[in-house]
Amino acid sequence: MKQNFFIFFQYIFQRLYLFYPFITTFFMFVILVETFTYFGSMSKFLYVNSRFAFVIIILFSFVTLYKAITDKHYKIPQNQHYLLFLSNVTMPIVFVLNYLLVVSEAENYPNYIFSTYHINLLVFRYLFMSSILIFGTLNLSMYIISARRKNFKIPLLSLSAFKISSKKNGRSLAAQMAVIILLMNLSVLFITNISDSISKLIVGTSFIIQHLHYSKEEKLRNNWGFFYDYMKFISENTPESATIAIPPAQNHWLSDGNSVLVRYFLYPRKIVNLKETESLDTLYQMPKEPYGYVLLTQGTWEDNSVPYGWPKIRLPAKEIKYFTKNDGKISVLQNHDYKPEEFENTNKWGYIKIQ
Amino acid sequence: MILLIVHIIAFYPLFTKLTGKNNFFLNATLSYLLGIFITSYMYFASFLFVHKFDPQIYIATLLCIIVTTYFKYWKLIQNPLKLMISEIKEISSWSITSKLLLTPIIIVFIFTMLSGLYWPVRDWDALTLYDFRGLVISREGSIQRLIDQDANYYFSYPLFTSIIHAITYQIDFTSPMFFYSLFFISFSIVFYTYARKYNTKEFSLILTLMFVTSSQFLDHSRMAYTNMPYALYLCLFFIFFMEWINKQQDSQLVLAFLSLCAAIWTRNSEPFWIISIPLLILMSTRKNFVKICLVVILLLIFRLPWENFQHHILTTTSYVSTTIPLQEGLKLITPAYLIKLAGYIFQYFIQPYAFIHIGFASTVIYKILTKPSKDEILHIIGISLLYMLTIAGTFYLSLTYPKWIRVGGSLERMSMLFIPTILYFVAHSKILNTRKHSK
Repeated sequence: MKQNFFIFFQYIFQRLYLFYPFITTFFMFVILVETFTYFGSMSKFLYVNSRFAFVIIILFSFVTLYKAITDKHYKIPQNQHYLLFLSNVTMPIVFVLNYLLVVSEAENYPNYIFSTYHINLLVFRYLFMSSILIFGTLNLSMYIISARRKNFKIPLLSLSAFKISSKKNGRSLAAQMAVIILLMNLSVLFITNISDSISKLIVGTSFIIQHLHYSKEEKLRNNWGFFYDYMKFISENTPESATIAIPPAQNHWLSDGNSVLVRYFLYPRKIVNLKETESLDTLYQMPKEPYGYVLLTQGTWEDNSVPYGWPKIRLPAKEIKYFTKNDGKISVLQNHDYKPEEFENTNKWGYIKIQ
Repeated sequence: MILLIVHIIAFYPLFTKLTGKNNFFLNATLSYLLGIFITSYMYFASFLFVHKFDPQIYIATLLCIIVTTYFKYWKLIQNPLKLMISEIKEISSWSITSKLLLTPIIIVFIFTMLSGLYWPVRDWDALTLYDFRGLVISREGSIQRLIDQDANYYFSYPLFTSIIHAITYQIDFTSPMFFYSLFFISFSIVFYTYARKYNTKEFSLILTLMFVTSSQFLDHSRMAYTNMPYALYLCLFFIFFMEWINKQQDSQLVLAFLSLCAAIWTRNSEPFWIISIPLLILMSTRKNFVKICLVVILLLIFRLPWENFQHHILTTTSYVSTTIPLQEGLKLITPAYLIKLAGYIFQYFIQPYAFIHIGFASTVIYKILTKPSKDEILHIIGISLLYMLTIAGTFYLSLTYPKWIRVGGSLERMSMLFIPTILYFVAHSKILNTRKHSK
């Protein structure tokens, strides 16, 4: 039994070199993808990462070189010719690129290459080392063969990859290689698409099933949160013919001051505001067009440069109606002028009806 | 739902004639995809004359179309119900592998329909622009409010999807979101049908599954943005243009022309329609020279109504341009600027669609090595022009729009057209040489 297993193992080991082009191509592809995404991005779908890929390439390079050294009748398999061509062409490019990237990173700051070009330098090193390894393995194999045979010429670029036709369909090996790359690519795309969409389908469908009773209002609230409730409060408490002044779309008020967004929720009311600027002074001015109402808003976006609360100036008010965000309690102040200091940094949201 | 049914009824005979096939699902989906563009454009054209959007005009337009198409083409129609039943029966006789591949596609279709029926319009730009315009049109029958309040914003894109929203609010009982779900499903069926011409059922289903599960399109089938309709109309143009090259039938050229016009009517600011002109020129011979000239002229004329209308609105209101002149922008070009631009293009165009780009490149290499046919060469040229326009357009935008660096998301959304276009290119290239049967 043990002897059979050993013979079987030897049989497989002796033939592993035949898979060298396919294995190296596939794992180089994995390393290439992770170079432009992040280390481990392929492990989500294929359960391999670039480090694992590099180890596999080392193992198979060793197996191939071992075969070339120990087998006196070793011949380069047909499918290694295209790999030799690819390796001899791409290795100098990768070599130069590696030098440029390393120098660039050293001259700027750590993580410069990744932050500027989104090339993961750590993974690129695996690409670089794998290229050198493949180049060395194949060319060393060629050298070993030429040392054994008198008239054997080492092909530098092995253009025969483009001429040799497969008996099956007349396509050159290079064309077959293009098909293999395409299929590998489509496979990865297929797997990533399916896995992405499964989670979306499950999450999306389960939400719908659990909330079949939701009204349109509840669905919009689910999407817009408190902003939707605030806009609903304003639309329920102001007439449709009202003209409402809103803050400029800056600092805390990127939503409340966005006139096209507010206009949607408060249609058909007219919305007026000042155009946003880089200056905080704009927050202390009011629109020039006439208006009957003003939003009383804290602001929903974070910003350290200015306190929450708008308007920032005193206004003569017929009525101030607001609710407190914490408990929803509604309060009304009649004939009480608006003073910003009374409402700044509070949780009070509502509107001011102008005198 | 009502819009789907009326458009199928109205346009089915016409698209049976144009496709030359008695395939119920293909003709029904094309009736919806291209028919809804035709009716919305005619509705806009009627607005230019009567200065109001009246749903009665829309219904009258549909009735005229029904009368015309049935009067002209009724002889071509086989019983659609029988056809539909026979096609469903045919699917039930598929192999287990095909059924296994079809199942997730159907699941995705059900999911997008469920989302389209459940959710109202809820995304930012969808609410503030497309749906708001639709709301105003449906309630007021006029666009005066939009002109008065912010013409610069509200007339930045054509009214296509907003008209659909308006009509949905007025005569349909579903949310406008359902349009996007149906659009997505309809295109998927057309895509499969034409991919099937060149590949086995299984490979066509795999490519269709790749398309329907692509995260960009799965998300956009549940959002009321114009990027998805635009991308799919452009892909339809490629599909029908390749069919025209192969068959040299005028009906295919008409379909390609309609698809391109639909793309322009969806988003006119993107210049991808231009690629049709060099492609048509390359296909011109003594025999079809007049026909091609006609198509190019009609294409240029088609753009005029909306562009003139938009120009008129913007020049008569307090329009403030947000762009800077190109001569000023050229002064920005420095090596550091070019590196920044390259990084931007890489981040928002190359990287999100890396697998698609690699797929295109490997298919092109394969085709070059195996002597491509005429239609395949033109297909490669067409997609290459798309690439060039994307990069050139981004370069131009970076010189003329000061806030260009902030709109990377727009470039990424715009580039989603490469997904169905390149998947169809892979299908059309017969790369696996897998097609053994004619059906």
